[in-house]
Amino acid sequence: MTKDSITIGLVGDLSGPISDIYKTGIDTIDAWVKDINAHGGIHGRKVILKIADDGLNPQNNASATRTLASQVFAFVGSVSAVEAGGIPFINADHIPDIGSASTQPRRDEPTYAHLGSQGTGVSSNLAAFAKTLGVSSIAFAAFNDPSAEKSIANQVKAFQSQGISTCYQTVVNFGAPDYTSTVVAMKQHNCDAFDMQVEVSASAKVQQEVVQQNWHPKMILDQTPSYVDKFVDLSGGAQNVEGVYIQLQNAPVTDPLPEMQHFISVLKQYHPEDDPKGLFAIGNWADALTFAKALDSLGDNPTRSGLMSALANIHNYDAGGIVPPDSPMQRTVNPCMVMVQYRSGKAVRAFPSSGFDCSGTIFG
Amino acid sequence: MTAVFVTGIVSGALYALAAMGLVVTYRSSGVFNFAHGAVGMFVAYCYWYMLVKHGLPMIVALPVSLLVIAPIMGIVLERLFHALKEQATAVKVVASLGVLYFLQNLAVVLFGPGNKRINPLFPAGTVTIGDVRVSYNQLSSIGIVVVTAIALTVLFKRTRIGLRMRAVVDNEDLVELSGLSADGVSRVAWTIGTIFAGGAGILLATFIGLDITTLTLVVIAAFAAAMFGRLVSLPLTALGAVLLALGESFVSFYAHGVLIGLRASLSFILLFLLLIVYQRRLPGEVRVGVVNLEERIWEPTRHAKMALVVAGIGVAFALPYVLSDRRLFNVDGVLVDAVILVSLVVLTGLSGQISLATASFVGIGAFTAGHVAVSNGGAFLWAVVLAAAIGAAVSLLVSLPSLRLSGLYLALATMAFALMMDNLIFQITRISGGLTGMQVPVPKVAGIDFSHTKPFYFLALGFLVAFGLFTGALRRSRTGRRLQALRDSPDGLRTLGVSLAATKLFVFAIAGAMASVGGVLLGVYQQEVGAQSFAMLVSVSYLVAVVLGGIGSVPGAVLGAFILAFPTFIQTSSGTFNNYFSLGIGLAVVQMARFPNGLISYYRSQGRSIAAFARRRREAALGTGVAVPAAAPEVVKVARRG
Repeated sequence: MTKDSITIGLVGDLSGPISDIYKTGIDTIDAWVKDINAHGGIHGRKVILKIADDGLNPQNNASATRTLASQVFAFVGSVSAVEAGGIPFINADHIPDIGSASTQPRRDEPTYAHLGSQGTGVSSNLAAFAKTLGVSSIAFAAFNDPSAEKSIANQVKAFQSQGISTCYQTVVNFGAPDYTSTVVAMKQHNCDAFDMQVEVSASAKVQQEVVQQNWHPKMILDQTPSYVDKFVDLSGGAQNVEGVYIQLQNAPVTDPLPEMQHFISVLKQYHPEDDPKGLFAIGNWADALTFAKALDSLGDNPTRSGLMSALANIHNYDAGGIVPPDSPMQRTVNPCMVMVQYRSGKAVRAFPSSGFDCSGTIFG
Repeated sequence: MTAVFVTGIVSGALYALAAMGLVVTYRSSGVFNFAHGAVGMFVAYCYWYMLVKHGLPMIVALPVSLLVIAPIMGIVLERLFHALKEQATAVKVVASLGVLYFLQNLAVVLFGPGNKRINPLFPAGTVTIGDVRVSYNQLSSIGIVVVTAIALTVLFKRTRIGLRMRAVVDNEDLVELSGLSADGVSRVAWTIGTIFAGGAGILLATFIGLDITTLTLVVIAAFAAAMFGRLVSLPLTALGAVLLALGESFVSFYAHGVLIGLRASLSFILLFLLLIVYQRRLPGEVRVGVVNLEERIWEPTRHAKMALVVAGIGVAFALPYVLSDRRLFNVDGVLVDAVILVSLVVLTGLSGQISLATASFVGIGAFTAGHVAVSNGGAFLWAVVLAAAIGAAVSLLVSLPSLRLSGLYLALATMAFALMMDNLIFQITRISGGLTGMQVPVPKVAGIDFSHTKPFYFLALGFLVAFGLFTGALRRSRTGRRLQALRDSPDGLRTLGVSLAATKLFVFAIAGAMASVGGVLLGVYQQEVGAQSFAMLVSVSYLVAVVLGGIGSVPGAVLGAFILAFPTFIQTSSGTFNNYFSLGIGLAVVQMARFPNGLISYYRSQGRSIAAFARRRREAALGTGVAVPAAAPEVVKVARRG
């Protein structure tokens, strides 16, 4: 940090076959930095962003984090499936780390902050919403991974609390060639809803199979990765995703919020190829605003410990309404959600009519 | 129950498509092509590129993909494996993994990451069988599998070209003696194989979507089906695929509780069991060439040796005081990887046993360190001893049922074991920490904190030197000679009355223990370990790196470790460097026909050429007129100590 500039770091997976998952989130931080510098920086300081590619390799992540640790004031918006590699170096130097964690060890960093839900706990409000649709039994399918397993165990309890039984549970392989048996089994178990905790192409395959089997459950629930235009394309068109619900923990991009419109226009200006709905995009934008808010409050001589204190003093912040109100240093599940539904190929707000639904009991 | 059968057959057709291509290539070329799925993926991407990106009609894009691009790939692959035909199975396996790696990264560079969609080749619509609606596309794939299985069986058994293809695989010299061009027949065989791979790739992409890793993973899952047909019978392969899918379908419908997770591992468990059951009846491996992995790199004089040792010690001690903390951290990573790769020098380089499960043993060590909580010197030593013991014991458990396997089949068995570890064992929270992974506290001994780069450097260097000296001593010992005999002439070893089984178990136990000790070091180095660091594909990168460096020697392992960790030295702000670096690694591996004994050997031969050139210049200047051949033929010395 100099009197004219402040350097922030981002370690992410920018190369390799699955780097597209993280691209929009990383580009969002890049666009935010360019935009904020175009408007004079933060407290008169230009923001310098140093990005490092970890190539989806924990050792590279450790090396990149360690290298940047000596050069940056804070990490903002790091996203990688192998983020655990860099954690010891963030902890050793007490570097503020603001962003979306994929793993529990990062959430456990003393200097970690994120504006949004943390952990695998779930709220019963999703189950309550399902109940309003008349759902009495639900199936769960997830990848063979402990995170999804724990999340589903919590969902089972949350749905039980609303009187909704679990009719079927399965795990699927990443790259499974066919979902016919999964869908037919859910149908034969008389499930009237299902929740898929998989990535977008697997969700798309399941969706095609649901259409093929002419199955019409009361609720098809997908997760945030399916909130992209690509989901419609991979599923074979608008007709194949009609009625699918997606649970979001941020506002939909269609909300007429000034901050949302600003985010979309900035991303479009600097990275026109990106879908603003992409995974980590809105979350990273909100985290960048949180960082700027905390830093701005520190005046001319910010320090890392000062930044952490400032972050700890932020409560009920919603980044212009694009995320539910939250405290970035609070390591708890945020129960707030929005349900969107695909109608004619577009994901539109279904519940609540505005803002977020933050009711319900937390499980896990 | 009808639904189980119908869905099983539908999914089975897709596995069959993937598996039959493997069998076709193996039968027609004698090469088990790990890159088969990647070839299919690449052809499917080319098809997508013409169809979607450039709007060409299917009637143009499909024939160009299958009749131009796939055959070109077939001819390139034939030339590559032709050059490797006298090489050891380990080299061929690694070359085929190199092709996989190269094609995956080439696809990232050319077409970008992420999934793409290809529309079905056949008209939309379904028929209902029992409770299941089956699409025309699925029915067509079942039909294609049946027709192809019959057609290819007829081709291999009843036609002249089929007979020739089998003959080339069985005995190329006899084919040449009968006046036929073995190369020509081999080219036809590879062309058929890649056209089949491309066709299957395009058809599978219409079901599973097009992305860079999925098709490869499907083909790996289909290995079990190919093994059911013992890599020979296409109808049995198709049946194996259906049985596998029926099993998965059955688990899908009826499994409860902990058995739900079985679905994700069924194909790997089946592959492992089939290899064990079939081990006496598997087809003999073709063209298992002379193992040439222990080439002596340099024959130094006594003085030169002494100077080298002194210089080495000097550099090793100076390095931590010359390098920046950041660079030393990277060097520490190289040392940790080198310790791990030395286990492969013993197992594969010295003894000729291939393993695609090294990362599983590294994981065993790392998680052991996490459990033992390496917070002081005593605990660290205890973790090292315990990890070595567990690594050796698990290695014995894996090698015991697969004692009769070698070469390719051993590679497949260890791969199946690694996938089972990934999908079953390392998913258990009590073992790996599951979701959160596991912290590995850094040891502090007599006030020395090993979280600092300098102390850790000396710790890792100490292990590397100890492992290097142990490997050297082992190589020179009576046991070492037995291990070399196990590699070069197992039958000879048997005739000498030495137990092949005991020798094999010994080396597996040693290598398992060494890799696990490397895992303890990795755990201490990273301080946080999770299951993802020990996936089967990490084992592939270990093998590729050590073969590239030179699997016959400890310096080769160090060079391999440097290659593996090279991206950590170059920090980049975009993905371009890593994409091209990975592409370069793949290309280097497929170039192993030129330097099958690794880069160390390659540089040695380059050094020789330069020395010969300098000598010629010197002699010309002195006017001695002694003729030196322009390109001195490389004389390969295979160490035969004792």
